[in-house]
Parts: sequence; structure tokens; C-alpha cells
Amino acid sequence: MNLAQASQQQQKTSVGIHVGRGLLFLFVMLAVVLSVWGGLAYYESLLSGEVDSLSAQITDERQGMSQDKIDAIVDFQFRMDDIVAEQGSSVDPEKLLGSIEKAILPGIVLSEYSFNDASRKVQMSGEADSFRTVVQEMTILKKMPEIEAISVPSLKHNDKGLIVFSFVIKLGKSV
Amino acid sequence: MSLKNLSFPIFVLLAFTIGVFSVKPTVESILQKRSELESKIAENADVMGTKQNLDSLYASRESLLGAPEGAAVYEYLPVSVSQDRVVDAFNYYAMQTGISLSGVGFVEKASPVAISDVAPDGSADESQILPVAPVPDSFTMTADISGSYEGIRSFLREVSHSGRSYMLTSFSITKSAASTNASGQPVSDSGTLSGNIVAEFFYLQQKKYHNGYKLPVFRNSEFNLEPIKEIIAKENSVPALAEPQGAGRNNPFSL
Repeated sequence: MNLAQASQQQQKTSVGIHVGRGLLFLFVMLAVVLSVWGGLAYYESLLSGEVDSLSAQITDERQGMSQDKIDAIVDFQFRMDDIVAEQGSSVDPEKLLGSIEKAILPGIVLSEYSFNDASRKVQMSGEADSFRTVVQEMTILKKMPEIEAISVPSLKHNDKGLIVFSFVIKLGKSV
Repeated sequence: MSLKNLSFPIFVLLAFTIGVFSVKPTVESILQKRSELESKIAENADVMGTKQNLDSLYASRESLLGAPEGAAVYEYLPVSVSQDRVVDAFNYYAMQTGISLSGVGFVEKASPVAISDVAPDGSADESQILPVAPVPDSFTMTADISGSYEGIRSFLREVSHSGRSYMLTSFSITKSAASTNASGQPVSDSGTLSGNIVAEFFYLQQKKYHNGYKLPVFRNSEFNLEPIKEIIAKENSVPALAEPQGAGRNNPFSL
């Protein structure tokens, strides 16, 4: 019996078992990786199906909504919004006259009063008994919070001895 | 090197390749799909809520049209021009306040084209475009008035509370020239004033609103009518003419 040959054969068998177990482990690992991938891919397809189904349901529900009803509701809401937004944006002429009434001194009589929204200006013309009254009137008007600026384009005596004046009043943004 | 020795690195490489190029993108895709699913669930709930609110709001609107609030909305900002209503109202106010109304004229004004009026051209994602409130159309009314100062002031007060959306463009009051007697001498001041009023009245035609269901109004089942109720209350409570206090007097056009 050749002892050296027997020993070599035993070593070969041991290596073969070792390589066989290693390969098996690797195959198992590969199978696990592939299974995980397959599982994930299946889950992904389930999710896709669910998303598609929901999308279709949403589209159906939206198409089921009456466009006429939507238009009527939106129209009503926009109308209300517009009305609320418009409130207070226009000058109240009666209030404007009321505030001027409060400011007119006894020696003054107006002959003309006009308001223009585009220029935000009020033009007032009239007669005063003296220059002093005109100056006092200007002082009162200047103190009014709704008035931003006041100018006097014309100021002269008339044949009755009265002072004929003209004021241009620039209204503030608060009016 | 034998094939057996190469098998381990080959398997490792294969597992790594599958992991990096297949499992990782799938995981990323799953995460994306999950987030997409969550947003779709939320969107679906939103659509279902909108659908419920749509029916509720429509029923509410229908019943409101018979109530003062709903009727006031369409009176304040009507669907059509309704110039006849304005003339009727002005005539009524003139009669009530004792002034005469003459020279009534109307000028139509074209409103600028709103975004909602423009047909989608497909250049943008149309599903994301929300309708915007259209700009109301309008017409300008010019009227000549004459009467006492108190009458004109009362007339202007009535116009301010006429229950219609308007904007005062301009107004003027002029003292009429003193009349003379047979000998050419000026007689006592009659107190008659003449004036002119220019006002812009608005109306809003019904339109189609693409994607209208996405507007915030559909998040509630009822309309918020509080602002309109306040406006109606304000319109109905026409204040009495205030007496001037301190400096000033009732009629600045007479001594």
C-alpha cells in the first residue's frame, strides 16, 4: 500500500466537499437575492395597479361632477368676492358733501363744487366776505384728515367787494 | 486558475450586480410609488369631499336665490347690463328727493379679457390652471340733476345705498345764476342748484370655469355669507342726514 497516495486522495476529497458547500451557499445566496428582487418587483406591480386604479377612480369621480353646477357655484362665489372687494372702493358723495359742510365758515358761499375720482381732486369755487375768511377756511380744510393738499388757483375781488376764490383739494387715499 | 476557484468571485459579482442594478432601482421605484399612492389617496379623498360639497353648495345656492342674501348678490352685481333698472332707480330717487333728472346717457365699457376667458392653448399643464375671478363689465351713466341742495344731497345718499355695484366717477354741483326781475335787478336767490353725476355700474356675465372644482369654495359645504349680510345691513340702514357741528352749516351754497 502506498501511504503517500492514500493521503493525497483524502486531501482531494476534503477540498471537493469544501468547494461543494461553498457553491451551495453561493447558490442559496443568489436564490435569496433573486427572491427578494422578485418579491419587490411584485410589490411594485401591486402598487402600480393600486395607483392606476385610484387614478381611474379619481378621473371617473371628476367626470361625474356636473360642470354646470361647478360653474354656478364658482359664479356665485366670484360675484360675492367682487361685491365684498368693491365695498368702500368708491367715494361716497354724500359723505364728502357732509364733511365739506362741516368745514365751511359763515362768511363763505359756494358757487361750484365738483369731484373727480380719476384725479382724486375736489374743486370748490365761491365768494368770501374777506381775505381773512378765505385764509381761515384754508386752515380748516388743511386740518381735515381726508385732505392731502390744497391749492388756490384763483383769488380776486369782484365788483360787489367780495372775494371770489377757487380751491383745488387733493384727497388722501383714506377717502 | 481553475473555474472552481473563480466561482466565488463570479457569484459575488453576480449578486452585487443584481443588488445594484435591479433591487436598488426597484426599491427606489417602490418608495416613489408609495408616495404617489399616498398623494392619490389624499387626492381621492379631496375629490370625494369636493363632490359632496358640490351637491351641498349647489343646493345651498338654489335655496339662497330665494332668500335676501342670494337675491342681493345678483341685484348688486347682475348678470346683464340692466340699464333700465338703473334709470328706474334714479327716477325713483329723484322723485323721492324732489330733484329733477334730465340728460341721462349711457356708455358701454368693454372689460379687459381675463385669464379665464382665454381658451387653453395646451402650452401649459391645463389641469393645474385655476380659474381667476373675471373682471366685471361695466357701463357709464351720465345724468344731469337740478334741485335744492338738500334734495341733491339726499339724492346722492340714495344713490350710494342703491344696492348695486357702482363707482362714482365724478359729480359736480353748480349754483344757478341768479334770475333777474322785469327791471333787470337780481331777485333773491332761488336756491336751485344744477349738477352732473357720472357713475360706472358693473355687471358680470356668467362664464365657464375650467378646473373650477379646485377652488377653495369647494372645501366647505356652505357659502360664507357673513360679508354679504354685513353689506345688506349697511345698505338697509341709510343714515339720516347729519346736522353740521361747530363750524359749518346745512347748505354751503347759501348764506
